[in-house]
Amino acid sequence: MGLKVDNLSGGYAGNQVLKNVSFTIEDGCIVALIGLNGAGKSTTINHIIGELHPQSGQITLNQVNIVEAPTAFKSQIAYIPEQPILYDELTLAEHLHLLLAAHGQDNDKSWDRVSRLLNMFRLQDKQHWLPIHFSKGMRQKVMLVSAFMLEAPLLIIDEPFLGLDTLAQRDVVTLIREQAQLGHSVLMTTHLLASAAKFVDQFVVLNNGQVDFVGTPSALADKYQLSVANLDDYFDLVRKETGA
Amino acid sequence: MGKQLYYQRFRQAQKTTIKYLRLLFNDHFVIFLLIAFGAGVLGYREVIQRANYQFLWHSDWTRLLIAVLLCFGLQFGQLITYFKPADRLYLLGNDHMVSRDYLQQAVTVSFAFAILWQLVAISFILPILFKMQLLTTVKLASLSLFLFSYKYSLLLLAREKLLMKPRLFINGFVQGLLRTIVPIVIIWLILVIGDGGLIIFSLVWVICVVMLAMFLHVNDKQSQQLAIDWLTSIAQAQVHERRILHFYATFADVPTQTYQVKRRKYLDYFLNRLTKRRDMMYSLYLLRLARGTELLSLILRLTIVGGLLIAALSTAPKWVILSIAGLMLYLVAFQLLPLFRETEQKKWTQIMPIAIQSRQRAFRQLNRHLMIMVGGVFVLSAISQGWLMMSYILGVLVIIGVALDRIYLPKQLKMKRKL
Repeated sequence: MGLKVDNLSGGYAGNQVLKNVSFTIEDGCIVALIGLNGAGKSTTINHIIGELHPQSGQITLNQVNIVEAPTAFKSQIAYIPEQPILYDELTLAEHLHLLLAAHGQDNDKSWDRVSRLLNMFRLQDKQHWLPIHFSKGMRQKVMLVSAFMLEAPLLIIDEPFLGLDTLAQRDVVTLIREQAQLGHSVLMTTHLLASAAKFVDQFVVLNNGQVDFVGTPSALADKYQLSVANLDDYFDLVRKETGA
Repeated sequence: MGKQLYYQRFRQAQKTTIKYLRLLFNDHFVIFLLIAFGAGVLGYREVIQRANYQFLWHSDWTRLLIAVLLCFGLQFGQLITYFKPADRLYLLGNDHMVSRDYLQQAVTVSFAFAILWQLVAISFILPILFKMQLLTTVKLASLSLFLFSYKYSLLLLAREKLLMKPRLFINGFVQGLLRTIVPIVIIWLILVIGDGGLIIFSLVWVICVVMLAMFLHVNDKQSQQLAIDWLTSIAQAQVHERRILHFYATFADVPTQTYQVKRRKYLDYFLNRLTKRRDMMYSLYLLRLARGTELLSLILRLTIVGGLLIAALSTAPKWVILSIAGLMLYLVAFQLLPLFRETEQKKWTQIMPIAIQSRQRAFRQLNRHLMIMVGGVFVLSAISQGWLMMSYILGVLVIIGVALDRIYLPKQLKMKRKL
């Protein structure tokens, strides 16, 4: 069970970005998709959230195929994009109510969980604010609350720490771990390898649209003769290797 | 939830429309509407009543012209979805609801608006049909039935394009044919066929449309297998919204208009020559004007429409032609103003060590050059009306141009800066 990406090739119209990408995320696993800019991380995510149609290959989540049953597939996903997306006309609370309704979750039953998240990210007293009054970090926090409150089987986070203060970064890690403990899969992208290595189960390394490596952080560190704490140097090594 | 969400957005959009209409009717639009409508009616009446146009009512080409006009009417009334960029996130996993309920409402509402457009188009050609002695009940009913049902079919196909895997795939070429040649041919046939044949034709046509509607109907089971192409859907909604804003922006200062850029490499040669040895701010305004998608096309449209009106109204009273020329020149200057405000709001402009007076001077210079070009087109448009008319237009445009440059613009630029 969990997410299975099998021989996925795809990209944008007339431009193949991904070439036979395969990896799996078991239930309760945290996987980080890593790679330099243009490696295909965002394209992979766009395929998994159903924004792009695969040219070939399969994507299944808990045995539901994205092409055959898109609604059933997508209803299992909570997604946090790299750039916060909000409706200018909706307050914070209205965003959350809309998302709960869209996922068919009971508003009253879920609200305790939502309140806890709002408190954690210090947004409790800003429920009636419009996005125009939010700072960059606050907008990102709204995205985090929106995704974590759903407790979806697959959580996808594009750059989870972008624009967050250190307290919020720590809270995000705690929440990601909680999701995994609940048996949900987590897929994230990041460039902060050393920080991610502390809580990630596996790294999937993408290079030019192909999977270069799949394994634990320590296995990746061993492969390049680095320590886990120095994993941030990985990209320097790759650049030297490829001459990029 | 899908229906409710659509109607919630529909109501919100109507509120915005009313707000914009209020802006519009408090601005230049009323004057423009009065003059343009008056001139239009005058010209149309002239064509219908004048004896020297009698040959038109016996020509086969006029039938083709009617078909083209009605086909032009079919281009109005797009699929209105009100999708927003955040939908790709907040409605993720609700594709069945969106495809089954939300988009069905979108088709219904869009069809209601489209019917209004078609009625306007039909009303427009009624006097011509009457003159051509083609105005029978059967013909009018068949024509209306065809236009309404064809528009409905186009809306269904437009909805299909928003799906990740359309059930009916139509490539760009065929789509082009369906929007142009096919309706022109069918309308022409309706105008040619006699009443008896038309009844049979209409029945067959209705059966075809009903079959298409049934094939493209989204039931509960199908909706589970349909995925929304969010990137395409959101882009389509944004294009639609931008078009509406363009319309309002032609006559009023619309606050939420988005700014988009096109590279337009083909203009590089002219831009390089025009910006050479020019003031830096002048070059900046010119480049922004040339590469913005909104302003340049808007000014071009105004110039073309103004030129055509001046050329077409050869027999209209002088004051109508001079008013149109003056009003269009004023609209061009008015339309250019947001360029100054948007440039002022850019951080780059704010940190540049250039005095506001120099910036205003450069902007006014660009405006002068533009007015000279547009004015030149207007004067040349009156060439068929003789030198005297051309000099009248030139005189009026010079007076208005000077007033705009010396009085109107300096005042507006001061105000825009404070905004």
